[in-house]
Amino acid sequence: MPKLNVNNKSYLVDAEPDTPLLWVLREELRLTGTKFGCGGGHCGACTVHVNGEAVRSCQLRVDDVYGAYITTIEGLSAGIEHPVQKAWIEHQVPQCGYCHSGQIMQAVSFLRRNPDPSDDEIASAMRGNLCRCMTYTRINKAIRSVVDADIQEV
Amino acid sequence: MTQFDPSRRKFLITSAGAAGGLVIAQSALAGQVVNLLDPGSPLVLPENFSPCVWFTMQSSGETNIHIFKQELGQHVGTAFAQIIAEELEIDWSKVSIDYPEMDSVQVTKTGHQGTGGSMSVLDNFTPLSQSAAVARQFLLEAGAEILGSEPSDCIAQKGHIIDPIFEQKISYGEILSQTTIDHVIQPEELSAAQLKDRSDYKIIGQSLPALDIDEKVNGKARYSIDAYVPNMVYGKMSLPPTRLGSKVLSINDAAAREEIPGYLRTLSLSAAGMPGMGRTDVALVIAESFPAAMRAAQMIDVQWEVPESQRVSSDALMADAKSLPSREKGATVLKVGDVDTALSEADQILEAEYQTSMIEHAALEPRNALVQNIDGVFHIYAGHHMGSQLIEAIAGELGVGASKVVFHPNLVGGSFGDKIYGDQVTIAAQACQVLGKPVKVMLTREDQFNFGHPKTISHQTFKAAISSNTALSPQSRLQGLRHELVAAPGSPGVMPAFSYGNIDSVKPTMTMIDNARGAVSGADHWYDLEHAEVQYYYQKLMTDLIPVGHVRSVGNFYTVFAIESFIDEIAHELDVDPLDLRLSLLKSRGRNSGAPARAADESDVLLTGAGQVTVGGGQRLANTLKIAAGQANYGSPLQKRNSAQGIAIAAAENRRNPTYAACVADIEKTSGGNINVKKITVCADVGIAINPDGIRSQIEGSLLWGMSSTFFEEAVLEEGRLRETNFDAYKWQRNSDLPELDIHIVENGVHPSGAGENTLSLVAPAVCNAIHNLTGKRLRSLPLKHHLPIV
Repeated sequence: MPKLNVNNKSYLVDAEPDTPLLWVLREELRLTGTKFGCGGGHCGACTVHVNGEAVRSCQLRVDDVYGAYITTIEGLSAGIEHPVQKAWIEHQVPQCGYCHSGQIMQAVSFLRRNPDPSDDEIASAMRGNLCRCMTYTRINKAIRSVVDADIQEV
Repeated sequence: MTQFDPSRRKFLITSAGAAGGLVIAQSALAGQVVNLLDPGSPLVLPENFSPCVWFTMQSSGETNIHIFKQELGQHVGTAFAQIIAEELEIDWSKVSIDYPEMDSVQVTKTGHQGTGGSMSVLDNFTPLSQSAAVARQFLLEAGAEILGSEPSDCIAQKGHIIDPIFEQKISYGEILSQTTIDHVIQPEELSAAQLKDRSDYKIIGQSLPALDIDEKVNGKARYSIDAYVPNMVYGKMSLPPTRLGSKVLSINDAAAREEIPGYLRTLSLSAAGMPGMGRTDVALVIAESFPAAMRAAQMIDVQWEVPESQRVSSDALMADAKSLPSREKGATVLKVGDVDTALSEADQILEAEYQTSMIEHAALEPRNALVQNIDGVFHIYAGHHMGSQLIEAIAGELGVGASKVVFHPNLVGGSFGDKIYGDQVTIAAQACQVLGKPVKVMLTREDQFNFGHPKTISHQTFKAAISSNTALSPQSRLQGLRHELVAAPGSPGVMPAFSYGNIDSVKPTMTMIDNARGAVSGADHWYDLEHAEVQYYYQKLMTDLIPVGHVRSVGNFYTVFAIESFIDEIAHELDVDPLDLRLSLLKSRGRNSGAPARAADESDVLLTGAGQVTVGGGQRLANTLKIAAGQANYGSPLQKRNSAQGIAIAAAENRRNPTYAACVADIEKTSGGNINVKKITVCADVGIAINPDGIRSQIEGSLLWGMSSTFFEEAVLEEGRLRETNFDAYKWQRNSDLPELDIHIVENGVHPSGAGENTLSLVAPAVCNAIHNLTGKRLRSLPLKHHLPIV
């Protein structure tokens, strides 16, 4: 049985090879913090990290990521210690909260690659992550606050 | 329960150290906690203090607030907790919230607890405040007894009863460890509750962090889509070619049986969004996993009978709406004076037509439900606005008693009205009943579009009677306004409509009209007009084709768009500033005065309570408009080239629960003719702000929803089904090109009103008025994407 490495744990997975990673995470591993929103890669609610890169887990076949290092929102920090999570609390970003696992995973991956972005770069990095409560202004303020705090490691 | 006795409250069953030979059952346990791992631990915990359904205080002083409203992202639990903590005088750090299950017994205690209409705080502020204030008095009397103080000498403060004279105090936890207060608050105690003065509020009015944020940033928040029970199977819908009216003829699942591991069977089922709405036939594909159900659904051959009458597209639907007033009689929603005479005698009649499209809820969590039968009781795990009504509806669908259905609330991953409807719950419950197994039904995004309840289309016509006599003031030259509105309701049922003899009449004649719920909200504007009439035409074809839903801000979205645009058209016709015309028409005359402020003319005593939320009426709208205009530098000569401002007001959601608000939109035209909204300045009078940052957050969301609906959103009907079925095609506001949002909250201090919807409807008219001011073009249909670029 193939193994999936998620949040530094190894899971034996019994799934059809073309099953989207999203459904393996949610229904088999019961890591439900990663959300289903559209199934087409349009909304970003299912964003996780594969080898550190933000990807849409609804668009990845599970057999393509055996052997890769996958991080979900549950694995981002032990408590709520990640600077991006803290900023989300500080700015009271979530309303319904459903998209924010994906928003946070997207923001973390982006800030790792670009620790000192302009506002336009933030907007272009985040424009693929939809929020129907329209918390966008707070998302951007929270990301800006992480950048301005000049945290070395995100 | 002991009976309430007003002469001497008998809730003090046991008291430590109290004389009189009472059975001291618990005083020895004061302050202790049962530790099951410690054989020496006492085995009796002090009783919880639970004098009403709204909260339970443990003997530690920790207080759990029970939230019977559904958490949709509005942080209603935090607002309710602030209201209760304020009057109960508890330490905020000792407050937590939970969302109790709803069953047929619970509903007898709480009454129906629907979440919607931006009504939660408005409706519950008084009962919650009163219950907490009465409970505080119980604690005070019990604490005073233990202290040996006179209750009248004691005060409650931050979880303690304090006797300032003898300088002694006791915590709520200590009181409850020594005393059992076994008493349920009675109605007569509620009405006698001594509420705090607003100037003494310490928790209400604070922007406290919401109590449900942490779990929403670490993946721990539980939505119903996350629900799991052992041995459950999954259901994926296979939907008909038209939203309504098609029937299943046959289902052939031979290929799925052959080729899809985990496929079980396909059921033919049917459900409506709520009782009284159109039903949809559904083939439900059952499998051991959701991916298997999705795979199988692609291989199932369902044959449908599709009535030709259902194959209607958006253009034909709008043409039907447009011609409806010439074919049918309308229902009078509002009548003041005699507008027909005013129009027939007018020097000039100004006319305009407005129209808007269907809009999807598009909540990011698609509707879903898990239903499990345990010993004959159906347990529902779903997001739903109205758990108590849902259990009755599902019991009816299943043919069981309401006592056989239990609703377990979950966090809702966005609703905006989507989860008012329970057809996905019905389908899951029917499947559970047939299969004898727990069934989890999930809509894919495509299914959500094809099984949704979008906002009605609207078509509106105005006729304004205008005098040519320029010696008259502009507002006097506007002599009457007739408004015809074609739309469809978001739920069945009747609602009241009002006729007034003249502009100064306060008391209306009331009639009930059918098929208008949500559809006419906002049409009964707050302008003082001598002669005004609103006629509503229910478009039956709309609900024959689509089970229309309540979508955030309901009818206000299109009524406010049309009225506020047309008021600007009138102002330009009269050659007066649109701000000045509005202010001159917002003098709170007659029906527009809102509720009476005082019980009697001579009295200084102000009335309070939910019925007073409207007090002030049109004047409050005028005040918000003045503030928004001032904050936005309205009319400033410093305006940049290629930019302009537009204004609008709204008292959404409706006359019973208005939040008076006004808006200035600053727009700019690009060289290519596109319109950028640079800034939206809003002032909202929310009466009393429970949590200002929470309100701000709701208004931010509402304004961007307004942007999205104004510029992009349009659900197109094609042959009886929605054309766009995912977010690549159905466009809405992304995290880009956001306007600056400048939000000002004011409070008249009487009673809190809702914040979740009211400002949404301001955006479209303010932007369209600004576009007219900039380009001279009057845009009368939404979304604006069809009009752009303006060249």
